[in-house]
Amino acid sequence: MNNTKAIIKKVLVFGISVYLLYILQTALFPYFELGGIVPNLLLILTTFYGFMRNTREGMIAGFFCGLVLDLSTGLLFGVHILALLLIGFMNGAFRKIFYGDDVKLPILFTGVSDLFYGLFMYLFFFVPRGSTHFSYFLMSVMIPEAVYSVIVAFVLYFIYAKIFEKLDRDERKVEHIL
Amino acid sequence: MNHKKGPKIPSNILFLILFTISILFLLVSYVTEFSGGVIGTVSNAVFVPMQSGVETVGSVISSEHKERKTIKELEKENSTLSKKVNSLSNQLNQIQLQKSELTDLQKLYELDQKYSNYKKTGATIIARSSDNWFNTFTINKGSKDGIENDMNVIADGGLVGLVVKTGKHYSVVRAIIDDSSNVSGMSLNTGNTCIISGSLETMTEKNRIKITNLEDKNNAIKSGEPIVTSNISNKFVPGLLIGYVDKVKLDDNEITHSGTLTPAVDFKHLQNVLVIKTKKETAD
Repeated sequence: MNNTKAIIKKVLVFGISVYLLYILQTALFPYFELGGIVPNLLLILTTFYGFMRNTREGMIAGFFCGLVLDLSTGLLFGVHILALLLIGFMNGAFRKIFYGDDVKLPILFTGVSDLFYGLFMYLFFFVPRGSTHFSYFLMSVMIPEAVYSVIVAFVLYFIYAKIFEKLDRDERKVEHIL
Repeated sequence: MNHKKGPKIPSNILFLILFTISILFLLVSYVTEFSGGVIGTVSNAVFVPMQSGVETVGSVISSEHKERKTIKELEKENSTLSKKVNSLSNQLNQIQLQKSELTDLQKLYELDQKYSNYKKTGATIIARSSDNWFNTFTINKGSKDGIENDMNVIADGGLVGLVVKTGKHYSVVRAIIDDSSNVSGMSLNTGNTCIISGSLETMTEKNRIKITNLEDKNNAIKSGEPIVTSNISNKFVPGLLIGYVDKVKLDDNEITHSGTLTPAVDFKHLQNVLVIKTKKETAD
């Protein structure tokens, strides 16, 4: 009984997060672009789920965030799913290596994940079209996006640290009863 | 978490399952151009109403944000502006005279006639592409409003892009400045054809896109030359203004020219667009 309640709560928190962040990312942040660059909020969410929770939740979060992104861009369906799935998985794996409650690490890994995402998009869409200016894309798209995402992740981190703490407490309570 | 209750799939297996699903999605969409189907219908019902609301908030906030200036700057501006007002009101009178002349001339202009013959419908942009790699945006009209894939989208009298995906009440437009976009264009004055391709690199750098394969034996095309969509384009209706030539130079093959073009539309501040309901009919 309590167990299903905790799961429902978890799903609800995730659903609302995706909903709000997606709308912010596509409808509000384009007005606050810096040099034509907007942060990637759903990628930050996936990173948090992977790094601050676990591999399993990172993957699931990545899968659904990717699904939402794929539905909004009329491109090859599945590209964002694959990219964010890998990012969720990767961050789950990092978590096992660098375990700790340090603030710096999740935020740092947001940047790393964003660079990975940029590389993935470049390899998938720009290399097949014969693009050779990798250094240009690195300097004016990937790195700025990663930096902007890190800044936004810094703010989001404190919100999600609180939320995840609360979810953990609920889960522990359930385990205690069981 | 619930490891005591029921079997739970190990995360490696889960990864493989999700990985396979995403690869399957990729293959299916590559072969059949599938782009969401039922899930798309559900998601648009959930996201579109909120997006249009937040988009309006965003535009209000950002315009307020730009208005914030110090008093000194404002005073300075005020004095220069009041001087300007005087000279401008003089100019305005002159321009109003010229304007009536211009409308008469425009009626004669063949291009204008072509434009107005196309059936159009207005739409508002409610969301922009979710990351920095693509130049696509979502508009608030879809198949219910008669929008179909491959319809042309214009704004401010220039070509914006092509509808690439339609939902019930929304559609996704790929802008001509997107890196994967290619449009067949021609010079309005000489009729020479060329290919206009979007470019993320030159667009972010200089607000320009690329012209290639321009055949111009007499070197007649100079900067400022208007380029419109050509008759031989298979998705774009002819005669839509794409932009103005910025620079062209002869290629190494000594036959074709290539260079850069300034798009006619200001993509940064785009808010309202027109969708042309007349589709180009091609043999296939």
